[in-house]
Amino acid sequence: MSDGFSLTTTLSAIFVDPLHYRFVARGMGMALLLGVSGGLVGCVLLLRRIVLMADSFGHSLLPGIGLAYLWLGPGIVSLFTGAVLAGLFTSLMSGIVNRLTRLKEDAAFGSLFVLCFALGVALMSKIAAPVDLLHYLFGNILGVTANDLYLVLITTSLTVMATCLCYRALLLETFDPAFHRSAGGKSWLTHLGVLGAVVINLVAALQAVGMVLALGLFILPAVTAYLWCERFGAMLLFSAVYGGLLACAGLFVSYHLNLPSGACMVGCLGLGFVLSLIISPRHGLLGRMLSRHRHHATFEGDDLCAVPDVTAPLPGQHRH
Amino acid sequence: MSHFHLRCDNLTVCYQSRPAVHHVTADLPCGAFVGVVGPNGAGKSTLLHGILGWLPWTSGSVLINGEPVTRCLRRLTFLPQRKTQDVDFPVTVEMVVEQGRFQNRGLFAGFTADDRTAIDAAIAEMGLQGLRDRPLSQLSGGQQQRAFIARALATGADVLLLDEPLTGLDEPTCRDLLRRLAAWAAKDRLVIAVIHDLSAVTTWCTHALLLNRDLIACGPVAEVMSEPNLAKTYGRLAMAMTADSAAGSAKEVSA
Repeated sequence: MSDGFSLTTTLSAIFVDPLHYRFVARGMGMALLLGVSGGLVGCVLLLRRIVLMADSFGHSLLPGIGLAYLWLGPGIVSLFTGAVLAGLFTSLMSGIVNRLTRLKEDAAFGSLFVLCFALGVALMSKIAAPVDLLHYLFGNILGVTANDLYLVLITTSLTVMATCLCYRALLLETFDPAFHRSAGGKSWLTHLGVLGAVVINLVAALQAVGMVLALGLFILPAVTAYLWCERFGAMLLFSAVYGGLLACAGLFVSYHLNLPSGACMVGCLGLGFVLSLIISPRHGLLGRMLSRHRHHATFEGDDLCAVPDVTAPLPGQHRH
Repeated sequence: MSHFHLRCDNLTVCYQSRPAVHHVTADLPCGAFVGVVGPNGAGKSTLLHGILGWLPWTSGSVLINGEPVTRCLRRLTFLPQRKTQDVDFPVTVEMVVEQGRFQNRGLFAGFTADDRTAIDAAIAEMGLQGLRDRPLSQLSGGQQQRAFIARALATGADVLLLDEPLTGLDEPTCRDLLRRLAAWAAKDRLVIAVIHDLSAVTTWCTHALLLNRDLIACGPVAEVMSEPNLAKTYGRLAMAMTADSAAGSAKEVSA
């Protein structure tokens, strides 16, 4: 009885007490929302193999944020506008370079975006203290305002709704863009939607974890889900739930151990990933080793190795 | 299935604003399994893209029963060369085949009984019944290829175009695939496939289309797969290549 009681108090000390502070509660909401939408966007980035492109894309938002601060003043709306415009501009520019020159998309992205980042750093040095570069790079989830939280609520809702509504288009576009086009789908629109989702979620994650660690919220849930799931839909769901839960767990760790929040969130997400890497039954290291033994045992009966039976009748063949 | 025929009428197709296939006139009846034969760079893929209307026609047209294909694109379906698809993608065989029906159902609408019939028929046609729930990544190359063909069949099209469907597959798998394609075509449909293996064409195809920029010959296999025609198809390659490299080095010198 007393054990149960002490367990309850311990649990409440770990999970409930921190939430009495309003800034922690806000941070927790932020972590949950960012984890969910980051997990969704990350899956698409991973499967389209454009994770690192999204990373450099994030860096290119810096000058937009700087200019927006200079011209429109501080505040979440101006920051958002600046970043979205910068994102649009750079993706348009890289598209043009890709089309008109010899450079492929990744090279165009990489070189343009590092240029933008340099511009942004120079610009930031001219701007007074409030928007400081370190904050942009590493963020502070416990310093977010109610307005920041509303913004993330909006971006996450948009991301979740778009994913559910456009599930089929998303599946086709990530799996086989050529077939998507040939089946009359609007491939470019889906691609644009994905880029848009990347921009709004990057901007949303900036305040909380900063540019450098934002990628962790995107990619870690996705790679973990990829190790466990054999269906696209299941992978999206797994990734979103995993992202939301582990980001929150990271924030609790950060609170109790007094460590940087961004690092703890990404660290927790990464811990689950490393664990999955080892124990995932089909794609993990252990599973691979075990299945090698199993494979030897069932080699003969495995239809993967069977030679097709060329004499078997085909459907409808007898009719003629 | 109604009878139809597909006609390329004096078709010239441009690739990157250069004409790559010239003045192809060919009549392909339904029930035919057409092997498109020619050396690398002969414009085989370009011809397929041209038939699909994906590349602009600078002259001529492609007609199904007299109607331009651009007005009945749903009747055609295309399987590109095996490199655009990511076979490590988390999908099962059934999920791949279902994609063939997405264009009929839009973004959300559930599958109807018709869709289910088409999906089941396509899966049966390609002999994938036992593999429906298998992840694509666990299949052999031939089974993956069959899954992609099944997706194409599920669209309900009656003209199937394939660009080098046999690349990277071993001999028994190739035979199995050719047999299935031939059986599908025989039910009053049309299969047009780029195939490099000439003996496979003579064994399994009903028709052959010999191409080297210009149409060399098109007709029943027994008539057109002749020694002189093949010499004409592949013999010109040597000439074209020397001409190309000469032009190339001339360009380099002038640059």
